[in-house]
Amino acid sequence: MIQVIALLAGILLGIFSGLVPGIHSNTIASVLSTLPIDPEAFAYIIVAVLGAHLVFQFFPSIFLSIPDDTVVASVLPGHRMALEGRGRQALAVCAFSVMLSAGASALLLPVSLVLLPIAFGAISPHMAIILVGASIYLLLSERAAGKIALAAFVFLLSGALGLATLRGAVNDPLFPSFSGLFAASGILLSFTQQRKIPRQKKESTRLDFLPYVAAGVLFGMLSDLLPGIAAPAQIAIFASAILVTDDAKKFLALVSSIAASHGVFAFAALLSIGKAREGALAIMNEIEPVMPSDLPALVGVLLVSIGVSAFLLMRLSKYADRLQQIDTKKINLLVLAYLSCAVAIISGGAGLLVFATATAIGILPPLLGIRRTHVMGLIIIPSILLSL
Amino acid sequence: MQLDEKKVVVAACLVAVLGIALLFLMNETPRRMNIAQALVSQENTLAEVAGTAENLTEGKFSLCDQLCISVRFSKIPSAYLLSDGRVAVVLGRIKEYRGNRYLEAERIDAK
Repeated sequence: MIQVIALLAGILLGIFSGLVPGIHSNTIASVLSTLPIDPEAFAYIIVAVLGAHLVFQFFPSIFLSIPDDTVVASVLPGHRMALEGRGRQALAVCAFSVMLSAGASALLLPVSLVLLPIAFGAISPHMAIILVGASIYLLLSERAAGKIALAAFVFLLSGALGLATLRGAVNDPLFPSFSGLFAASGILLSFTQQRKIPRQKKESTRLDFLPYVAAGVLFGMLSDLLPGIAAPAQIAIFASAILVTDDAKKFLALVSSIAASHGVFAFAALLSIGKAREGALAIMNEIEPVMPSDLPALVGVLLVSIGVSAFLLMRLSKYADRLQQIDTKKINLLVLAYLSCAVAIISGGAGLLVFATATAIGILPPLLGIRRTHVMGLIIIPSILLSL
Repeated sequence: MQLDEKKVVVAACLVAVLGIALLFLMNETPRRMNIAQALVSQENTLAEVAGTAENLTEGKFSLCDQLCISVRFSKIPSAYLLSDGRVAVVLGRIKEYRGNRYLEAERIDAK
């Protein structure tokens, strides 16, 4: 009975953290760890939070352009679909991809327990070279020499911001960084345009994105080998450069799948290579070490949480139409005000500085005519240095 | 690009460079946090953490409140004033080894 209550509590907390920008599953875990909770119940709550957060984080990403660090790559195509009136379709693709990917990853979990240590041993000595090579590939994809130079400038500037913020002066540095790079900068640029979130159509979608879900499962497993700075986001960027597609739906399926499989394989990474790729799992492991015999129950809780959350998300998506009735400028101003307050509360004055700096960097790519993904130097460059 | 857009780009670059410079200057300020926060903080964060010292051995001990974090130190004379159960404030960098966070101490104050 206590396990069921823990599961339900975790789902509710995960829905809250997923919908409210700035609140992460790690935050929930950190707060709960100070309370006198039975260790088994605590584990169930945390895993359920992870599952629900994984699903609900797409709502603010798609409709408000505010990304969580795990799925930051989804914000541009997702918000683009919302502006085309296909936001509900985007949510459905994300929810379905998360469920499918989590299920497939759970089936592959026994394999990953064997493969991950082997892959980690083979790759980790060369991680820096792999990341540098992938970064150069991303820059060269701009093709024109002038644009490559501009992209490199933005990439390095973002990387410098990453190095400045990730060494500790700022609490939860990724929230103000990504909020500035994507949400705030997008909002500032939108004030020069008249764009309204249109009526969100209810439309069915073909399952032509399934190959991208499959690819996401594999890339998600790889992301658990990367140094832990928003690794799923890094892998998503590199994967998108390899699996080139202009279809926002397929891209979303890939990003969602990577996020989900990363979450499942994080258990394998914890057990097999001793790397807690999720902060919440690290806290859970600290309270009571996770044993291999715990895996079936914990993964089961994760899958149930994801399934229930996906169902609830689809019910919530019907209300996305309400956004159409609100003046976009008002929404944007509200979002900007909320982000500024949230950054100030969560990350303090230093966070506001990061937010402003990231916003300044975030407006550069559209003005310079290059892709926004180059701002991911924020996490890639620190990862390269961490690997050296 | 039109002239006003060029000005916006230049201004954005200046703001970005200035912001980054200020953040680097702020980096050497330690962050006060509890052990739960230390366990989820980024590697290399400079943190100041208080707790009770336990399981003292050569070169390391556990710092505990409701959770515990391992502290490693070398050439810190004040560490030898610690004993099991004594309150300590540790200033150090958060590191990770095999999935476990620990504090690489730079200063230890025994209370």
